[in-house]
Amino acid sequence: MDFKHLGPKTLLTEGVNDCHVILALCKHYNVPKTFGFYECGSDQLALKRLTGLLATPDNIDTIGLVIDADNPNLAAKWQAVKDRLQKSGITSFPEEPEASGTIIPANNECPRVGIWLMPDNQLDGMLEDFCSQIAPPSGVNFAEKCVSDAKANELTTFIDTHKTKAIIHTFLAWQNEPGMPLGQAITARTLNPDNLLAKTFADWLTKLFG
Amino acid sequence: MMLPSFYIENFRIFDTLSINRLSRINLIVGRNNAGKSAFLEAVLLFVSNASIEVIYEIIKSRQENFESDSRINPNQLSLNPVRHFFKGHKIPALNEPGFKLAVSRNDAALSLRTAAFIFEEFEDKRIRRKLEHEELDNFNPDLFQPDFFEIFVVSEQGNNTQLLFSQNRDFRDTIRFRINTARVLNKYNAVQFVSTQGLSDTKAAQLWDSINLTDLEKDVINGLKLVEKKIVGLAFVEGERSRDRVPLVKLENQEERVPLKSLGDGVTRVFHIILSLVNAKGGVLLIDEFENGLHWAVQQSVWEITFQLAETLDVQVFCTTHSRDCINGFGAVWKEYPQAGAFFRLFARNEIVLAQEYDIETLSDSLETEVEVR
Repeated sequence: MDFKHLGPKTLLTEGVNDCHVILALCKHYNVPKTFGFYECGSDQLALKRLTGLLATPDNIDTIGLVIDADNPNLAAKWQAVKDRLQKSGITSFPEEPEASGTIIPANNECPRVGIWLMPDNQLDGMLEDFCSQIAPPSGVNFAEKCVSDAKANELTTFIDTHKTKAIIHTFLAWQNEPGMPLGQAITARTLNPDNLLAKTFADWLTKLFG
Repeated sequence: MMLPSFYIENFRIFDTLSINRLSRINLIVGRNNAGKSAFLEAVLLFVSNASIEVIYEIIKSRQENFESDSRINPNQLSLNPVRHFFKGHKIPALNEPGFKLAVSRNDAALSLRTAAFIFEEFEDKRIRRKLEHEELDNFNPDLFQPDFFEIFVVSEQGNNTQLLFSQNRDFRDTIRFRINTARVLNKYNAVQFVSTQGLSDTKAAQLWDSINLTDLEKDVINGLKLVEKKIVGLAFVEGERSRDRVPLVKLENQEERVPLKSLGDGVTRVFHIILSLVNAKGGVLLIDEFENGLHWAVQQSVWEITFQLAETLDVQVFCTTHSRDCINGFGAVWKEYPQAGAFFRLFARNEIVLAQEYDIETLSDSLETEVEVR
């Protein structure tokens, strides 16, 4: 599936994995299909596309942005978002990201904008942290021990910022079927879509694009 | 002398339009009929101080002089083709404001409107005097003999009034008379316009004549080399009819000279652009549909030479385009000369024409993520 939606209601993501995870949650919560996905390839490209879309206000109704709170951290990412919004003429937005997802209403010249910083708008992290939070804690904790063990035995090559990725995929390696991608893991309920964080995310999407 | 910004009121499809930041090289995009060409016309009128030659050229290019019958009647002015310049396609009434062009809303504007003139005796002479706004309230044309007053379409700037078209004179007569006898007094040294179709051979020959054998000739040849590396020289020769002038080029390692046109549209387009640019030294160059005939691979090079020459020769350039490749080329060169570019899109919202101005980062971000800017 090609996540390159060009319509007036669009959700910008960093990559294909984000799209699959979000799509699985949308299916679970019956989020109305009023919008499309555009996977931008990276956080910087997603931010640039945000700027680009805000410069064509007449063709755009709502822009949602889902990016990781990393590279380097949530504070810097949020500031980057605010800087871009300000430059594009959006002057009223919250100082800090809202825990249930930020939604900035439209005005005469600017479309509605929604922002979600993975995992939960509060902590530094990434998509995989979101997935870890909705996975069974005992499984994830054990996986974390294994990953640390493997690292201590010099069996690993992952870079430190990707530790959460290593952990969640370790967990998924033991499930049925082994090695499921994140989106499929939600559909299979290996990761729990009924978890409160997942529900909060789905609610934010529904409200943003409703 | 560059325009730092521009303001238009009541001209063609514009109610009011403000462009807040112009630079040396300005690129304008927008849908068909968004007002791009009208914008160029507005700039052209402003920098040429509404010269009648420019007015006529614009009317001709739009074929707005289509009415072939010449009729003398009291309401002559209402049929004058210049009516299409005003929003609503109507010559304004005496008390109406007409259209305005200015550097900004608060600056002294060049306006076109109608004014009434009466003849008064003054020291044994009959002087024509414009009636001011206050006098118009009490003005009753029926009290005057037709010989004693006349209504004109005029251009005004500050205290200067230029008479353009009289109600008593047919449009074509005015043009014939004025263009034959008038001297063009431009505010700027040189104003050049390259239309979508390009320049006529006659015009190109005239422009070539004015820079032939000067240093500027080298700049033109170097521009041509961007499209055809082997061009080493150019000259105009007599064509089939003695008044025709045809450009020929000399190619390296080829004895036989060939017509410029035989090398394709791209070379001719670059020729017209650079030739016009070097003739606009210290002035303004306007290009409609910059990309016409140019292959995507040369667009960036042509922009490169445009930015450089415009800087060296102090020319302010205004271009329109429909082409993505053209915008990409412009964006790339703008990054090399960040102070020298400006970019905006004209679009309509609720039937009002607005401008979306882009700075260098916004354009770059849009192009990089393939957001449509046109």
